[in-house]
Amino acid sequence: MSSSILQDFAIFDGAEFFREMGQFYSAYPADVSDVEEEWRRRVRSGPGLSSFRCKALLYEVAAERCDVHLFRQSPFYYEIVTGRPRNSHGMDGLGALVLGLHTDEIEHVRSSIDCFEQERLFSSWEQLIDWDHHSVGYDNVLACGLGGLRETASERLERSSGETEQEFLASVVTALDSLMSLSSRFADRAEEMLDTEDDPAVRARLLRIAETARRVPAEPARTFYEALSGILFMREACASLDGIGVCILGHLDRMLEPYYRSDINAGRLTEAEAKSLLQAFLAATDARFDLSTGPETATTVNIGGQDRSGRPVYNEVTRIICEVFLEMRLVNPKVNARICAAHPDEYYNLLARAALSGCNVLAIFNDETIIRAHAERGKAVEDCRLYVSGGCQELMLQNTEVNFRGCIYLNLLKVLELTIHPERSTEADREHFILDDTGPACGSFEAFYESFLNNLKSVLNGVSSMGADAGSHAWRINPCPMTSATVSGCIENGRDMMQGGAKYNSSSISLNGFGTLVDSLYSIKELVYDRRAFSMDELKRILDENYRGHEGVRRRILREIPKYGQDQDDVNAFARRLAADIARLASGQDNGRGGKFEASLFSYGLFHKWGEVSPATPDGRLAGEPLSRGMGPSGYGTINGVTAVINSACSIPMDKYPGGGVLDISLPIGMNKRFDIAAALIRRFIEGGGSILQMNVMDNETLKKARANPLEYPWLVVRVYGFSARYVSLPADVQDEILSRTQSGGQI
Amino acid sequence: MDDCSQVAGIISDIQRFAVHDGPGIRTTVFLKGCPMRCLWCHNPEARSNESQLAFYANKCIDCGLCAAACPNGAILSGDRRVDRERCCVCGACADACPSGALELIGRVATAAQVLDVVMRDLPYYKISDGGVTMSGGEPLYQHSFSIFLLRAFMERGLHTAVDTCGLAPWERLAEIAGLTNLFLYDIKAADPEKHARFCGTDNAIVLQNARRLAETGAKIIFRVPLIPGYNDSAEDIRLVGEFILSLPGDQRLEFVPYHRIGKGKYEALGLDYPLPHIGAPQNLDECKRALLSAGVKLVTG
Repeated sequence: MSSSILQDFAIFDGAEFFREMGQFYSAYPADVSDVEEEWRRRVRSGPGLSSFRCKALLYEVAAERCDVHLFRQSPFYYEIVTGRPRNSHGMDGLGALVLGLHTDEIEHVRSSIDCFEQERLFSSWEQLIDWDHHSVGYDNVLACGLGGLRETASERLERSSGETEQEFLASVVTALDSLMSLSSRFADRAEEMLDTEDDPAVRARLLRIAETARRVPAEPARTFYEALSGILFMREACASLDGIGVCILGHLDRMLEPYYRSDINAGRLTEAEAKSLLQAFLAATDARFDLSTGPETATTVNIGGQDRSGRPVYNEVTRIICEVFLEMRLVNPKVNARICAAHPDEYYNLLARAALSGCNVLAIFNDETIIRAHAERGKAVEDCRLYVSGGCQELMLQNTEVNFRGCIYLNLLKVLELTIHPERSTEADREHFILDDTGPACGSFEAFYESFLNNLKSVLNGVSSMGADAGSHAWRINPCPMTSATVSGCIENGRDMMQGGAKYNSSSISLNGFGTLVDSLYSIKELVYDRRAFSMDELKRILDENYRGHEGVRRRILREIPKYGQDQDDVNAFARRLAADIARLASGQDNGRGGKFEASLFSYGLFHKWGEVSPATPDGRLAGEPLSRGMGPSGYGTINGVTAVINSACSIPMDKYPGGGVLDISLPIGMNKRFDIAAALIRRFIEGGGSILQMNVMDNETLKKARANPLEYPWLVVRVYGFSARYVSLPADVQDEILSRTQSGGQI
Repeated sequence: MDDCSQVAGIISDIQRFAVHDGPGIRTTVFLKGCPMRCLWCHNPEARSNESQLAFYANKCIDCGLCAAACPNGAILSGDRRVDRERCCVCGACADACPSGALELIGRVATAAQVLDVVMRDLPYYKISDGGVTMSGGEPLYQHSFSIFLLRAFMERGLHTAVDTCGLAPWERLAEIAGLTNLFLYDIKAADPEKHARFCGTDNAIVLQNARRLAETGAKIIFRVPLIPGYNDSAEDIRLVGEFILSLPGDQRLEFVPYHRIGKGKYEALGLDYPLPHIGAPQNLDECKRALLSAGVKLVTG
């Protein structure tokens, strides 16, 4: 192929790209009722088909009948028209049909937890089963090709025993055949389009697709372009046909670097072409979603980190990816950057630059802490080194792990409320948990603390057992043989990824309000037990009255009782102790899929939602005010500035939290040239043993102006919870909440 | 270490994550007491070397505990709150105040207490080539405390900066110079008459000390506050530039543009804000250009 064709092929015209995609997706969701009808007909033809058979039929029908769409402006082939709406990263459209056959079971789980949601004890979006936050085993696809995986699966099928195992493996084979058929149909489509296409650049792209799509991902990828094509194709196909959120585009720079190097050495690729390809690859998310409505795309890429052998990953591809983000100011995918002490200063500075750019799409992951946390749970360190994260920061080991990491959220402050006010427990509480009602009468703080831990333990055990029960049905409700085919362990074990087939199968209950809990317990220790400023009964009354008539007391609590985040030795020590106890209690329960629960500290938007409906807390927080966020401090905890906050967070033993813990800090926009400062903050966080750091750059004034004049600030991107969005497109109450984050001193 | 808990001074604040008072991430210690009275002073709470009582009306919850606690009947109602004639600045009201609306500014701190705070951010100083900055007020005013602290910082390997107005006996400055890695040296105005009018004293000692300090080879950043209508005329800027160029060594200068952040503090202390309403300077770039073309080196970044 001549170099001029290569150049034509790689031309990326951003404006045209977004225009074409915007136009196409604006007609979504597409009508796929005929495909659905055909699937229903085939499902009805055999009586009482298993979920595996139903899913396999869906793959077959989709491969035969779904339209495959090529964009003239994109060099990649991935858009399968399955009725998945524009602002969806999975879980909708044809892919969700099998799930839809089980609405009764889902409704049953849903109704059994409604009462707990009402009393703010715990919450779950997805029926205690995590249909979201999944990844394809990209390395397996790129290395073996779908054909290779099919061979393994059919060999394994021959040796299989038991109906379930056979049905699973047969549906894996069908899934792989369907994927290869869909991929070939993209090649056919490219050839059809070439008949009428005149534009040389578009023709070059179509020619490339026509010759590649029959081979990749059926066969192992050989080039940089083939690897990118395979990744995007697999991500979109699994998201569209398995009814799950496939959020993660993978550990890109590590996967791509060998292809990049060999292509460059062979003269098949230039840096400029690689960049154009990455532009089209990375811009595909922003182009699909309607950003004017502030959607959560949940999509992430991972960069940096380490390879399987522990060598730091930081290469040309890392640099190009960061360049693309900074130049195009993409809102998605979020960049989840892994970093360790061994990385060069240059990488720290690059991340600092990205963090201060105002793009606000970057989260920083501490490799050493996170890898150790997973290895301590008995996972092979070579597997741990390949961890990825998404839709927000949910951690998993790429290729080898399937998690339910982001579907059950527990309100720590409700557990404290039940300890202070045992009389508030409901019948459902008493049915599912063995609550310790000695809290109010405890004569020492140690006894009170013990009572709280007893309650936390009981609630965590109860909730994880409900989660395990629901999780054990996941594979019957919505098996995912297509995605399972790519995840190590599933074919070998003859079990679906929803059935614990993967090499590792973990779950987490996300714990909300850690900072508010530290401060509340510490207030109780100081006021009720150490200073004896008032009795537990008086404290209860003051909280019941929401500090009305006790504003002086409240102000004293806020100002004089040290808070987590202020970097005060005694509170740091207490926070460390509490975090260790929580990690112990939140770990180790069976999850019904052959794995265990693991601890994590992140909160999505619940710190806000629960805060609104939660009563006053002993740390001086009024009813209705937000709880603390992720593993961060409450507002008053930030008054000593960002170094104190990071020091405090680094006093927590995060290697006990394989699910990670997120610390959010905000820097004033005025610092936007101080890369040295931001890089130093990152390095201190990493060397201090932190877990996940999100830096937001914003100042109060800019946000206020944007609030008042939205038309002038369309570019302002803020980190909402675990996702980023354009500020002016967010709902008013969320805008206000973000604004309030910048108001305590303006720095944090 | 016993000395550290014996030696004490009076400070108004310790600010962590200071990023504008020298290189890297720093902690700035604000000492009370200053010999100058600049009209635009934005730290009025640090001018006196004694404690002062501040009242922040927006934090007050009208609980009345202050009035009950005051031994002198000096609590009034309304936004001024404190009868400054009767107040003996004993701090009883601030102790009683739950909300922080009444605050005793200026507390006696031992060197050990200062070090406790400063050393918490040691990892940041090491990573960012930052350190600790002595400011105020005027650090030379409590010179023996400053010297003690600076020596303690140096012994702990910290980079030290001193933010000074230069108005002190040369011997004090010389002694401190041996313990200071960087001076942030204010030149309020090069014209003696303006300096006297706006800062309460002429600038002879300031300029002389600057010259002698430069002669020792000390590392200095000269800082010029830019106050619209007061010291920012073309002639003012020219004179400052001339002075800097006349000094030995490779001297650099940076402007500190005026802002009204200090205004609320005046109100809280029961003081009148001495400047009429003026905004931020509009001629910053012009002033920079004038100095650059005269050959003065500016601090960048």
